[in-house]
Order: sequence, then structure tokens, then C-alpha cells
Amino acid sequence: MKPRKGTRAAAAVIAILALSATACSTKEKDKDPAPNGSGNAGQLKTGAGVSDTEIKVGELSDLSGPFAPLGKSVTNAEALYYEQLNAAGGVCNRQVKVEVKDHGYDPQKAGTAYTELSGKVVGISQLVGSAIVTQLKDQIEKDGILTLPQAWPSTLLGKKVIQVTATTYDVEIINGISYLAKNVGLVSGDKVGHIFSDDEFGANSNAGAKYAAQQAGFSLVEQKIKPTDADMTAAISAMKSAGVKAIIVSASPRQVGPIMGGTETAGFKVPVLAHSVGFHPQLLALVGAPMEARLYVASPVPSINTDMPLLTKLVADYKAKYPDQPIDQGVLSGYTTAAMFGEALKAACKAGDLTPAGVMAAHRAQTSLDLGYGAKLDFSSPDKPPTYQTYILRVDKTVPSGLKTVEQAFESPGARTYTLPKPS
Amino acid sequence: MTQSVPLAETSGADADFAIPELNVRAVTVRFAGLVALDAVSFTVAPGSIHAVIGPNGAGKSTCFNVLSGVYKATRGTVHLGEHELTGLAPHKIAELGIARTFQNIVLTQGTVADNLMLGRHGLTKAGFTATALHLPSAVREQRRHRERAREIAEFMDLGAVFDAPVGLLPYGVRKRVEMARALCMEPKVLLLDEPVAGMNGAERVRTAEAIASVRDGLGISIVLVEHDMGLIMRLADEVTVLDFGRRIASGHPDAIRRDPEVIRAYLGAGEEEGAAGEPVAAGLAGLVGAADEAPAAADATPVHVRQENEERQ
Amino acid sequence: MSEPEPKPGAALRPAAPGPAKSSVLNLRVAAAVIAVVVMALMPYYLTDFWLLTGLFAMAAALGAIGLNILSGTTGQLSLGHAFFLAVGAYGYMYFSGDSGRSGTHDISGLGLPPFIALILAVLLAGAVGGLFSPISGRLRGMYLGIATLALVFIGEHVMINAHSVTGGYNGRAAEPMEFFGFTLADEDPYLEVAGVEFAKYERLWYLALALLVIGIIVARNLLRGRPGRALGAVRDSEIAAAVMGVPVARFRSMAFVVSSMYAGLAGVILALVFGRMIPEYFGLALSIDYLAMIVIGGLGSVGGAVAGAVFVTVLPQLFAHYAASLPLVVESGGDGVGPTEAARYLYGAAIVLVLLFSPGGLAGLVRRVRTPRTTPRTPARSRSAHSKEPQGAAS
Repeated sequence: MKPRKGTRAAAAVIAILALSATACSTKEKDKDPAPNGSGNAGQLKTGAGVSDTEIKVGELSDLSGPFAPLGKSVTNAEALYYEQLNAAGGVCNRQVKVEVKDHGYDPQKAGTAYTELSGKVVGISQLVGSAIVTQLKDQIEKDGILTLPQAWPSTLLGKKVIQVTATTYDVEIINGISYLAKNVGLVSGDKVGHIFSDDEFGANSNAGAKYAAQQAGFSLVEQKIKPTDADMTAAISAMKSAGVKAIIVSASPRQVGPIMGGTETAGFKVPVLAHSVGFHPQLLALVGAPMEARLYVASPVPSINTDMPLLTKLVADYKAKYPDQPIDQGVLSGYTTAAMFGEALKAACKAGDLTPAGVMAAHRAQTSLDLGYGAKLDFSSPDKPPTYQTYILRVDKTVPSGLKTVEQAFESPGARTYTLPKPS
Repeated sequence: MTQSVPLAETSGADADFAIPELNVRAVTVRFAGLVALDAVSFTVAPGSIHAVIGPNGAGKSTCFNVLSGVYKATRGTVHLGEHELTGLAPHKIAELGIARTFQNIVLTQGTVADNLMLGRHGLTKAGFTATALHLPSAVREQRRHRERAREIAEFMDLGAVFDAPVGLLPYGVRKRVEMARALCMEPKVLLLDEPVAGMNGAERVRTAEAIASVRDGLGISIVLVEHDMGLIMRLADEVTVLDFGRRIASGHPDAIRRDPEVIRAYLGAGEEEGAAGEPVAAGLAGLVGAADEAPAAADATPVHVRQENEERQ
Repeated sequence: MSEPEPKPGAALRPAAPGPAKSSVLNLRVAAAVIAVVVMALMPYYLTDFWLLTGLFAMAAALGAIGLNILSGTTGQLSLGHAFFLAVGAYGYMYFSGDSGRSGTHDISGLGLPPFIALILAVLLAGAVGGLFSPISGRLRGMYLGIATLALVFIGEHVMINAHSVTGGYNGRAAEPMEFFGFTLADEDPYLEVAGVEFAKYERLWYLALALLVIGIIVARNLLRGRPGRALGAVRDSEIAAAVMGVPVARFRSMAFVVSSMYAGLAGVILALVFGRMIPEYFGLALSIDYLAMIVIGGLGSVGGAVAGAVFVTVLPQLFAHYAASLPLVVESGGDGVGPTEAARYLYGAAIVLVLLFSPGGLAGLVRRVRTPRTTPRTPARSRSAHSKEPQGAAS
């Protein structure tokens, strides 16, 4: 740049900046609305996202990316919960209104979508995608809004604003292995395989598997796969040649399917333990028989098709509202997550502080919340999951979700002795 | 046609700019067992126009590719004065003062000026940093060389289209741009690969004049591959005839005209009718005619459409 | 070789450009100044959403300029641009960051002043681009594209596994930029200008704008100067370029270096804007986005690269933002065509329309508007990485 031209341009910029300083900017300062909005309910403190008639809750979902099937179910189920909450009178005489943003699992889109929500909502009751949570967590912490992610690695623990909603992957696999050991008869010295995807989910799960194997005296045969791999032949043959007695899979349904099919054709019919995020009812059509025979699913919640008052009502209501949508575990996960957020709002209302900070404080004060499916949730420690319990589900082709509960919530001895990775 | 004044003024006087001899010694080029050039030797005297002719597939383009470093000779050497060119990378050879044009037009996108300035690449120094930061040295250099490029454009009758995009120019003009770009390298030896192919009569005359004035004005050597025998007979000081990769004759155009080997090569072995001059002249004249019919309509396309321009593979 | 000094003889033409030309030049300078001023005023009017979108667009513009020098001007197809963005981003975070913990791992950092870290990160990206030259020098076209693709995969692996530098899956927090105690973050110090709070995005806006202006000027200088002509010659015919005296291998590798430096700078800006970078961001999709930017914008044109970056970054946001108010579009989460889907349809249609009606991209469109005379259709489609070699030279 020629200095003369540069200075002239700079002078012009400064001049116009000065001019516009007198002319008022149209920019809304929607970041900090009146901290003590006039509440009509006595001394109720309100802040961002709360008006006299409305409470705005944000959701950041993946409705167009790789997690769209999950995102769709969760979003629908949350909408169902808030609709029922509003029908019952809402919270603090206010209707809860949901604002859903779709990030398509793109960190950049998630970043801009988040800026659209922050400052406008009292909290975020859905955040899909562990990578997206990681990307946004510093910002969320700074803004201090309670956020409930739809991802369960223990690396998300440690922040007061981020509430992991259930048993983390590592604890879940510890419980799962203990069940497997008892029920398919594994003994100390046996070889157990772990096929896990090379991402946060897989790594977190592997930490738990390592611990459980060491506790039980199993030797763990590990196979890392890429999250996008669809060909499981190499991993399966490695398992087979190692002679493992059971395989643990921490991967997505598109990998669990080929593993079930591949082991079947290889005549390598060992029990397989997977996470509930690794199962999808669509797999039934492809590998229904081997799954029915050998698949065990470790899950933080029971099968949605379990005979419980909460669940039968949920299935019926969901079917009525979304007749064309599949009923999967995402529905239950979304509904219970929204309920968790609803309970936080109710508690905050009772405490007279509906500001984002008030909602978070009220949420963290709950130590024994029962949402109606069995597990008691303790939200008091940001460093711990709210529960250490796990359900074991097995395949049942006769129900819509394809899963039935075979073991009610339990906690293995290793679940608490295991040291959670301590994030900063 | 502008005369050679500006060019002569710039180069000829420079003592450093003595034109050396170009010596091709026993050059052999083999492609996977095929012999494209077989021990070809010739010498281009300083300041002369040396034509390399021969039927299609004789090895003329291979010869040019060896001279400009595009191909490596399997055996033999090429010397420019005391510098050995054999084995050097093309840009090193260009640095030593050999410039060439291509049979089909190879220009880069942009204006005529951009193309001519590309020819001055080796003569200029501005690097990435200096250019990016618009340093005075780079700006000055660019301005100075642009003036020189403009002079050369004027000389080649391209002054009016100096800032025009080459893509919009007619075929004949683009051919001249290519030659001007080669001249912009201030070469000691200029290799012209069929400079008038595809041109109409008027354009041929104009280009022939330009070639002559390059030699006369700059004193540089010119090696010429051409099918237009009339042009060669008019311009060339010496002619080397290739056939099937071998040199079959060499000498003054008048001698070549009468060489029985040459006549055989051009007319085919079966039509050998004696050593008399007349049939040969007729044969060569026929070639001229054939070349004249080459589509002048090639104006719109950059690719030379002559059917038989493939080297023997 | 001695430089022949052209002696200004009688035949020299006057060097002064005609009056018409200089007024056009003034007009363009004025337009550029106005554009910069308008951009400088944006933080007064834009909400965080649009500021952030604008910041992403400016970072993308720098990255696209770089890729355009490599692929558009020099004709070297690269699918590895995301990798060089990652080198810049992680380089900055490593140079400026302190040692500590991220997630469950210890990380290390050099704790250098952020501005020094920015410069080092850009240089690092350039050096890594240069290291790739033994490969880029041997491969052409599609083959080079596939080789650069490998960079993305290697990068993903390294980002996930080199915990101490990258923080693994958890990514790594980026130190905010700082100039003599003035931090480009929400506070430290708190700043309000004319009633508008100048927080992180407002402050970063000016940094990004300044870097973008410099980036555009540098690229224009390069492309209009000797290196740019040589790079263009390499694209159009390597043989002809070499015969013209251009050391082809050196210029091919320099194109990689320059392009990687631009990518590195874009990566640094992204790290500053995001505040934390995670490996997922730098996937193959990002490289493809950048290719789309330069094709839509117009190969080989700096302005085109900027326009393409804005198109690719802002248009989907624009559509997503306003799609909800379009007829037949339901809100996110509802049944039917959601805003994201609608935005994708519109975006896809926009790309097809641009490519269909202006093969030279947005830059070609502008050129055509500026010179309305009927010109023969330039075969922009044949301008691809496929270079035409001279006949007779390759027989």
C-alpha cells in the first residue's frame, strides 16, 4: 500500500466513524436485556429469554447432517414434552417456547447458530454432537447458560453449565462388561475384543473398557476403526485370530451392522456388547437374526417399549403427534432431556429466579430427580454424571424400537471405583 | 511495417552480446527403440538464418525440442559458443539465449503485454516478496521492461493490440505475438517452428519481412522449421534437410534445390527422375502450393489444424 | 546474465497513461476505499450472528485467495487446503498458548505474544506447503488432487493423536489476539464506542478486515507482477513456460508456499474467532468448500475468490436465516421442508445458475457487465487444470 493513499483512506474511515458516532447505531444490544425485568409474580427475577408471558428455550440440533435421525427424534420428543408442559399451565404462568436451530454437524454453522440463541434463551435443552459441544463449551461457559448435550463422553464433565444427562460412555461400558461377564460366562484370563471408533466417543469408551478388563482380569484386544469405515472385515478377522470370547463395539450403527453380519458369515458367533447410540431399528432388516441371538445393548435408559406408565404414555402420545415418525431410543432420550430442563425451570420458578443463572442454580440443586423411568438423578456435581446406572437391552423384533429391557438399572462395583478422566 | 531501428539500437552495439555459433554434434534421440534423430549434426553460423526442412516425421520438431531442452538427447552434444546445452533444463537454456516458438500457438491467458512480459521473465529479477510488497525496485523493473516489451510489440506490428487480451486476436496476429514473446527474451538464437503455417498470403509476407529484419536488425541467429519452400528459399542462408531422423543434405538453398537425395525424400523413391533441377523445383513448388492451401480459416482456433504435422512416432 | 538496459530512444512511446485510463483507476481506488469504509462501519449495525458470519467470510476469502493462486492461477488441483488451514490454526494456538491441560490431556505451548504467534503460524504453514513440493513437483492434475487428499487424512490423524500440541478430540483453546495490552476479546479493557459495546467479534472484525485488505493487495501485486505471469504460464503449458525461462518446479512449489500461507492466515483468524478449534472442522468438506469458492468466484481472479468466499459462506446463512419466512417452509424441527433443506435447495440452485450462465464465475460475470460488447465466448470451461501442451513438443 502506498502510504499516502493509505493514510487518506484511514482518515476517511476515521471521519466517517466519528460521524456515525453522533448518528445512532441501529444495533440492538440484545445481549443484556434489563436484568430485573418487571415480573408480575412478586419478586420473580427474570433475564434473557423470559418475558411476562413466555420462556424461551433454545435447541441446537443436527437435522440435516450425519446425526439427523437422532436429532429429528430428539427434537420431536422435546416439542412433545413442552407442548404437554404448556397444556398443563406452563412454568410460572408462562408458556415455554422452543427455538430450534439446525447446525448440520458443521462447527461453523453451529457457531453462528449459537450466537442467534445466546442472549435470547434461558437455556439450551438440546445440543447434538459431541464435537459441537466441545467447540462451543468455552463460549457456553462464558455466557453461563445451562446446556444439555445429546452426547455422553466423560470429557464433557467438569463444567457447571454443561449437564451430561446420563451415565457416561466409559461407565456404561464398565457396567456392560460386568453384565456380560456374569451372563455369558467370561472368566479371568479370557480375551475380550474392543472395536472402537477413532473419535471422542470411542476413546472415552475404551478408557472404561480398559479399566473393566483389568479389574476382571480379561486381556483386551483392541481394534481402532475410522468413524466413517464401513468395511469391518479386518477388525473382525483380527478378533477371530486373537480368539476373543466376546466383542465390545463402540461405534455407530453403520459399523455395528457389518460387525454383526461379518461375524455371522465368518462363523464367529460370539456375544457382542454395544452402546445404545450404536443401535438403530433399521439394522433389524439387515442383521436381525444375529442381533437377536448375540447383541447386548448397554443403555442409560430402558427400552422405550418397556411396560412403564411413563413410557407407554410417551409412545402413545408420540404416535398421536407424529404418526409417520419412527419410535426409537432418541425419542426417550429427547423426552427425558426436555423433562430435565422442565424440572429445572419449575425449580427456578419456585426459587423466584428465572434468570439463566437462576435456572442453572436450581438445576444443580436437585440431588434426586426421578423422571419416571427408574434412575435417580443427582445433578449436584459438575464433575460426575448424574447417574452411574445402566440398563441392558436386547433385540426384540416385535416392538417398534426393536429393543426390550432385560436388566433393570444397575450399577456395577467398578462404576464408582473407576476414576473419571479429569478435564481441566 | 515498422523498421528495425529500436531493436538494433538496443542490442547490436553491446560487446557482451556477441552472437555465438550454435553447434549440433551427432545428436541422437531415441524413444523406446524408435530413432527420432540419428546422429544429426549441423552448425548455425552467427547471424544467419538456418532452415531445417524435411518431410513430415523427419525429426524437425524433435530437433527443436532437443535444442530448447524439452527432450534430452540420447547421444551427442549441443553447444552454444562454449556453453554446452545438452542436459540443461529448458529454463537454463533459455537463460543462455535460446528462444523458441511452437508449431501450434502456445500463449498464456491475459493480454499481449502479459505474454511479452513473460518473455522477459529470465531478464528480470523481481521475486515473490518484492512483487507482493510492491517494492520500488520491482515497480521500476516492471515499468522499464514493459517499455521494452512495447518497443518489440511495435516492431512486430503489435503496438495497437498491446493491451488487448490474446484470446480475442485473430490467428495470424497471435502467431506474431508468439514470435514477439520469443524476441522479448533478447535471444542470441531464435528457433521458429513453422512461423507462417496457417497464415494467408499477406500475413506470410509480413512475417517473412519481420524474420528478415530480426536477422538484419539484431544480428541474431535464426533456426527455422518451415514447409513454405518459397519462404525458405528467400530467407535461408543455409538449409539442413532431415529425413527419417537423418541429415540427408546441408548447404545453400540453391544447392539443396538440386540435391538428388532431397528430391527423393520429397517425391518418394519411386519417382526418381534424374538430377535435373526442373522436376525438383516443381516438386518443391507443389509443396509451397500445398502449404498455401492450409486453412487460413484456422483464425478462430488456437490449434494448428494441418493434418500431417505429427512427428513419426 | 547481464540485464539489457533498454535505452530510451526516439522510438519510445510516451509512458504516461491516457486521461481516460487514470480516471478509471481513480474510480476503482475510490470504490475500494468506499468498500473498506462500509466494511469498517459494519460492527455498528450488525448483530453477533452477522458479525460472526462476516468474520467467517473474511477468513474464507483469505483462504480462497490462496487456493486460487494455487489452483486457479497455477493450475494445481489441491484437495488439501483444509490441512493448511489446520496448520495455521493449530500453529497459532501452539505458539501463543501456554502449557496446561485441555480436556484430559496435558498440552504444551510456547506462550509467545499473539501477534508474533500469528506471523510464525503463517510462516509455518508456508514452510509445510514448501515441504510438500517434492510431491507436488512430480504429480499433475487429478493425481496431485488425490495426493493432497492424503494430507487431509494425515492431518486428521495428527490432530487427533498429537495431544500435546492439538489437544486431541477436545481441541485447544486459542489465546485472544493482543496488541500492547489491548485484547481482542469481550473485555480487558471493556470498550464502548458510540453506545455500541465493542466485544470480541467487533474487535476481531477490524483485525480480519485489515488482514483481508492486505491479503487482497498482496495477491493482486503478485498476480500482476512477474511471479503471477510465470505461474499463469505454468498453468497454460509447462513446456512453454520452461522454454520462456521459467523454472517450472520452483514456481510450482512457490505457488504451494504462497497458497499455504494464505490458508494458514485464514486458519489463525478462524482460531481467534472460534476461540477453540477441534479437528472435526478441518475435514475434506472444508477443502471442497474452498474449491467451490474459487470455481464459483472465477478461477485465477482475486476479486473472484473473495466473491466466491462470500457466496459460499454467507448465502447459506442468509437462506437459513430467512428461509423460515418463505412460503412452504416450516420451522426447524417441524414436519416438511425445513429452513436448512430450503437453504440447501436455494444454494444448490444458485451455484448451478452461476456456473451455467457465467462459466468464468462471479468474476467473469462482472467482467461481462463491464465490457458489454459482444465478445467471442471464452471457453472458460476448458480453463481447467488440464493444460494444453504445445504440439510437436510432446510428440
